[in-house]
Amino acid sequence: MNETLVELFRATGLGGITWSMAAMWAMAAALLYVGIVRRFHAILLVPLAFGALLANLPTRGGPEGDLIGFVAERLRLDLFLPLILLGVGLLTDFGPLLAAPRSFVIGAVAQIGLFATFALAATVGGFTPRESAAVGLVSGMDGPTALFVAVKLAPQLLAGVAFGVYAGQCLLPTIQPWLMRRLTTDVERRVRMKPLRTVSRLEKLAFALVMMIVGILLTPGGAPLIAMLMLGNFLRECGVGDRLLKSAYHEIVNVLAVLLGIGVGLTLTADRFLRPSTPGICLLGLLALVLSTVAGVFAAKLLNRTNPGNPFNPLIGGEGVSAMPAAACVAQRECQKADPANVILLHASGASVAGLLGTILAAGYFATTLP
Amino acid sequence: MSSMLPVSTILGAAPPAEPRLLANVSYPLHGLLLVVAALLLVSLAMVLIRKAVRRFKVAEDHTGPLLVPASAGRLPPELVAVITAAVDEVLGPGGNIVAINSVGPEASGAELAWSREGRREHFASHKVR
Repeated sequence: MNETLVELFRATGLGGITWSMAAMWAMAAALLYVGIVRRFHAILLVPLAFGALLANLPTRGGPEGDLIGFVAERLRLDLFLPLILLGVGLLTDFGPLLAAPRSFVIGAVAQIGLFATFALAATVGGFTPRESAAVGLVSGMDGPTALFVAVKLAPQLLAGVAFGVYAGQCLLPTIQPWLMRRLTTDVERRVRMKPLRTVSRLEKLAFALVMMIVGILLTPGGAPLIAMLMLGNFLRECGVGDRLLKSAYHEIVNVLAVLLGIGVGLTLTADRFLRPSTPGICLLGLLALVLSTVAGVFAAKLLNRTNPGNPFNPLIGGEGVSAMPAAACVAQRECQKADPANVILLHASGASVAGLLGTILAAGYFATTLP
Repeated sequence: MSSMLPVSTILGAAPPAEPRLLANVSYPLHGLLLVVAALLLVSLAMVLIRKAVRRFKVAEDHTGPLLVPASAGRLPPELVAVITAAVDEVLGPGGNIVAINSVGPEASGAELAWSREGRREHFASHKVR
């Protein structure tokens, strides 16, 4: 009888539970709380938390080729990440960026944080150059791009990078306003910007092609990212293939978001996540966010000196980090606190998409030069 | 994909072999310069494309007949009635309409003003997290 019970116990997963697994359950519960109760990035955080819980139950190692194995493998093969960027391209309007080309400068300057973090991670943090690139990309707060680099260059840090990116996105609405209020005066936050011109469809189509060609020529390693982003945007702007567009816009993007969430969650196993490097990645990522925000705000102030007739609200400078659309909303909220009738949302989203492009180019640079 | 050399390689950027400060600064600096150059290049290309599109449009406009609005200089009475009713509804009785002007110098200006107001109202009605 006793032997039968022992055999039964061994056959269950109960014997495989460890303390580190229990710690990861607590983290999955925290992610579920943020996603469901706080309603923050629920579409991503809920599947991610579910995946993390699944990864830390003693039920893995089942037959190869099941759905969970399939999802994890597709993530490793870089299938979801470029496809998610196709969806991002479909959902992104580059019009505000094209209407105010100065925003390109903000997006470029904001990458200072990313590259400074690379240098810090490699010099002080004890990370290898490939790992440092993945850590630096955390600063962009752009999930697909950071994960793309992590999968390609430092898969052992995938869990830490994933956590760093999404923790950063959660903390962004707290950190950036505090920082922006200290970097700008009340008068600067009230600056009203001229309405943006309407950008023609032809310009938007040309932009998608030009950006893709320049991006791939200069950073071939980032071709899957930039190509899919611009393909999505081209589909959006060209106005043909409505059926495909509608499917991509809703079903495909949503399914991919769920699969990506589960796939990333599955990487959050206790042995990969509970490492000394994880808090280091998060801290460096936050430092990079601070540096990017500071650099962007000062770049906006500098741009104002060169063109005082058409001033830039410096709050927009902080939006060069590519966390869309949260960063643009943060700028709008801070602006409205100073002047309730002031609207800078579109201008801010222009800077934000410039930041996204800058981050993708930086990812391409690392993927190209760190074989 | 062709096997051509990327500009980053031509610039001489290479990953640092050892974790030394100088090596770790020059490599990311090359990367930053590359990103800045790429975005400025795209920005410049788009400015040129916009100018070309404008020129093309101007040339196209000159080929067609000139359009003169039917109510130029004078508002149709039904529009005045609609505006009066709207003012009365919003401000209440006793309001005087002194003048009716278009919001912008062109139709696009008016459109932008309405879009701007719509966005302001929409955003003000939501709590941003």
